[in-house]
Amino acid sequence: MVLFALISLSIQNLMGAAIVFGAYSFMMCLIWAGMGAVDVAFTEAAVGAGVSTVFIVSTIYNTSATMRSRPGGMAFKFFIGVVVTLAGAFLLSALTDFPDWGDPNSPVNATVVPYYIENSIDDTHVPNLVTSVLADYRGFDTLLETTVVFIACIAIYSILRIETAKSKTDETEEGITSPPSYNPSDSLIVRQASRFMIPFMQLFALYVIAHGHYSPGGGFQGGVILGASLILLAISFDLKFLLRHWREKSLMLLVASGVFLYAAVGLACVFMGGNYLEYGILDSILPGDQAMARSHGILLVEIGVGITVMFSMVAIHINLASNGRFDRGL
Amino acid sequence: MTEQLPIVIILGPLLAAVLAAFAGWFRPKLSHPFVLLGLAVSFAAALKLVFIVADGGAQKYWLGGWGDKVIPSQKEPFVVGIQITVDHLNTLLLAAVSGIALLTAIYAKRLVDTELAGRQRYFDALFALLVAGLLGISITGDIFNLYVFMEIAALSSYALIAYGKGRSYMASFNYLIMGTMGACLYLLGIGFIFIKGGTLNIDDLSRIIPTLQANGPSQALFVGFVLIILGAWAKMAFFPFHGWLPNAYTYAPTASASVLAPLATKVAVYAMLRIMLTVYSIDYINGLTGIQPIALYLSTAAIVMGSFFSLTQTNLKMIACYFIISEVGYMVGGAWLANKPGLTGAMYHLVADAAMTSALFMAIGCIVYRLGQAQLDDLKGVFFKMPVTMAAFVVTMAALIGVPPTCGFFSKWYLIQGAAQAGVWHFVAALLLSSLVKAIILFRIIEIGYNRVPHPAIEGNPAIPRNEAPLSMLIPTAAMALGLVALGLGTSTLVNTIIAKALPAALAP
Amino acid sequence: MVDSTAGSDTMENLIANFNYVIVVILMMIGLWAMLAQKNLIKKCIGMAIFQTGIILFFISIGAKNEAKVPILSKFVVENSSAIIVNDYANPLTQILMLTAIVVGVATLGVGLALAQKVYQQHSTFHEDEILENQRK
Repeated sequence: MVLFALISLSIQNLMGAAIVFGAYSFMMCLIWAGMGAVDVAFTEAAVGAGVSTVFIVSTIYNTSATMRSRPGGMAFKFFIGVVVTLAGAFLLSALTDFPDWGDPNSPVNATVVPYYIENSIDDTHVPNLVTSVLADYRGFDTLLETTVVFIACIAIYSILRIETAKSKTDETEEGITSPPSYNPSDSLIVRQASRFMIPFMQLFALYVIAHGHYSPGGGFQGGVILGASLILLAISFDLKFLLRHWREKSLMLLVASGVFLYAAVGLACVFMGGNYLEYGILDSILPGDQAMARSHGILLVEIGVGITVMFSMVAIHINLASNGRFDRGL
Repeated sequence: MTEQLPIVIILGPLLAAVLAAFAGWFRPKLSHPFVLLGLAVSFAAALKLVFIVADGGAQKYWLGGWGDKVIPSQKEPFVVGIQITVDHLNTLLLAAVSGIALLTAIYAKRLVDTELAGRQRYFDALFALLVAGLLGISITGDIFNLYVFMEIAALSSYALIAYGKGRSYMASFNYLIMGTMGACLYLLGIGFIFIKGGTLNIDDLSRIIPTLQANGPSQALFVGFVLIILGAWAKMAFFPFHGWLPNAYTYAPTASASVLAPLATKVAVYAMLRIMLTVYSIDYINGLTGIQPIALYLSTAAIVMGSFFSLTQTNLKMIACYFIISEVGYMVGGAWLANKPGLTGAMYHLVADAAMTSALFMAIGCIVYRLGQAQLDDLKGVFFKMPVTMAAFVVTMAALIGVPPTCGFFSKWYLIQGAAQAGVWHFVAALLLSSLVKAIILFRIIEIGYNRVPHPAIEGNPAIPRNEAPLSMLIPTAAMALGLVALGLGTSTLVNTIIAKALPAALAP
Repeated sequence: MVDSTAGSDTMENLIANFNYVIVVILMMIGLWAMLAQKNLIKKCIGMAIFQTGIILFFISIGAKNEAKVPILSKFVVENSSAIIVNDYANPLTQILMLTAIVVGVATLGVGLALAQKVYQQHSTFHEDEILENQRK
């Protein structure tokens, strides 16, 4: 894996670097799955190996794909190399202080975590411990995380989006090589295959969100897969095809609505007399007792997360692939 | 109801941002009022909390209602959720951040409408999100939560800077690389602390870290500490990590720079203070006999270098950016002096410098708006064209130099006292040097702006028409400048009621 | 810091905790790339590598020998007193890392967008060439 990282960085062809990086991410997620971190591996597969690589490829697509190497600058690179090596040694100096690998009684495993493991089912009726801690005990972090995705989406929009009525005149923009003209009879196989795959992907993703309480999954993973399904549509057919079905305005509004849903659920808790995001207080308006109310609250916020993540991924891809012009692209 | 106030501080700008994002597609004219409302609510809550904390002590709030729980294997209860705390250390900062943000939002409206015409769909939302992020960093009681808020603020700022076009994209990219490096170092530091401590809650950590060190200093905790401090230093543009700041704030549009410059770096300094004093405790700091001198030398270097470069620059905005770099040096040095006057100075300077930088950038913004340029040579006759703005500017420079009764004087007073007490004479020299440099720059500007044109009041000389900044920009500028004096006059109240109580009890006098 | 007799202890420790050594190497490669590479896209990739390295570090901290995935089985759900803590991998570190992954991809996206804008202006991703262009 170290090898993959090095290759990715040294390759001259940027497109190749992106692909190797995708392979690197994929290896990472296998390792994490091996360590018992399935939710994380799931997310990394969707986000790191999938979406990140797509973003890099989209960015490079409209530009020249090789990296011209320049002579010189070796002294600076060497200097940084020395600094980095010293830093690494510094980090490793703490090794003797670490608890043993996999020790179940290390502070990390034995301090706050036993509370989650023992009480999660009684408190929230959710067997997936990752989901219950993510969306309830540490639900505030997750709200903020969703906000981060939201910010990235509007940031990229603000940076790249050029709202021109006349996109024909953009042909003369410096540095943009025109992407190869799209011939519908190319890639028939890709199109047919994706026609088949996309509905399944979406169904699966919805399952992931809904069943996140009981199996690995949840809002982020499901949302990313949903987003990926739409990106697949864009890549295999044409960006215009995707845009015909999903208007820009609806995309951006939906991105904001997921965050709004999450924040509003929390606010509802305050109005009912509890603290922010204290779902248990909602038991008077939701069916079931306090613990069930928590479970429902978790589902609601996960849906909010899913909505924001899904549309953010799509919007970011569109912006990156089309240089902000929202017409042609990858 | 008042126990919900802490979360209101964050929710105000956060919800306002989402509503502004919606409004951007339906009724764009509404997005600015939404943000003003959110900031006003936040400021009101923060202000009320200042008084509550002054009387009643620290206020703790648990998200989701998850507070202390008893854990079978542990002797004492631990917090299982995320906590936010308003105590003596951060209550003034919260009020300052929300207040300055509110004033800047009013100030920037005109700039957004003119400089950013046609592109401002999400500007207000990003503005509000930045403020939410900064307030969140200041209020949180959980070290990982701090990281997430830090990234909220960071991503918003990269976008706000990139509104500048031209060179701002590269400047923002460089800021992104440096900022992400800082955030990653911080995250890694959390890892080292977590591996020994097992909890992310600041109060719980401050309780158990001394027990973890009972058998001798812990290398992992030390590495974690250094990583977090380095991360914070990168975010606050402390020497030698200052490279990203001048370009980022100069090429950013005035509307963005006027909110970023006063607030972003100060909040990072607060984060450093919080980790140093609450998580690790002053005894730990005193035990780091190797690090203290290094930090102090770096602070002196930051001040000297910032002063030197501000002299060589011809662009007003660049000069102001190098001022920020030296002011950060004041605060870091004050904090690492680790004695009462030093820490008092550093904490007081958090608020004072935020106000001074805000006034400075607002005044410069007014000048740039009317004259279209920020080069020193273009300032000929500006004292006649924009008398009120320049008056505010002079007051602000006086505060930066350290003239009583402005707040700047008191910061320097405490810092010099602290340095003298600790015998760190190079720091004293640096502080005095930077005042001298600022005075030189002020006189230079007076000379260019006042003396290089024939005085219009004298017979026969051409009249110079007044071209003052628009009221929506002028009033906040003037208000902030007056605020510098008011802050100075209120120093002893602030220090005695609040700042003194934020100092660790175990501190040497 | 370490004298010669403790030298072999350190080596032993390094080998026992070899996993951590690999993690640190990975992180440092990413960090080096972020700072030393001149190509903007390579910097972004380096950033992603640095971040995934940190995530691997955190997951490693939370690993438990022979522990299951942190999802309670049906039997246990019904008899909540039968929960054995040591059977389950640490959920807290996983959650922190979910957040870290998401923040990482968000930052990557913004970085790539900025890089694209810079390319539009200068037709190059190479830092030195950009600086030259700016000086003209």
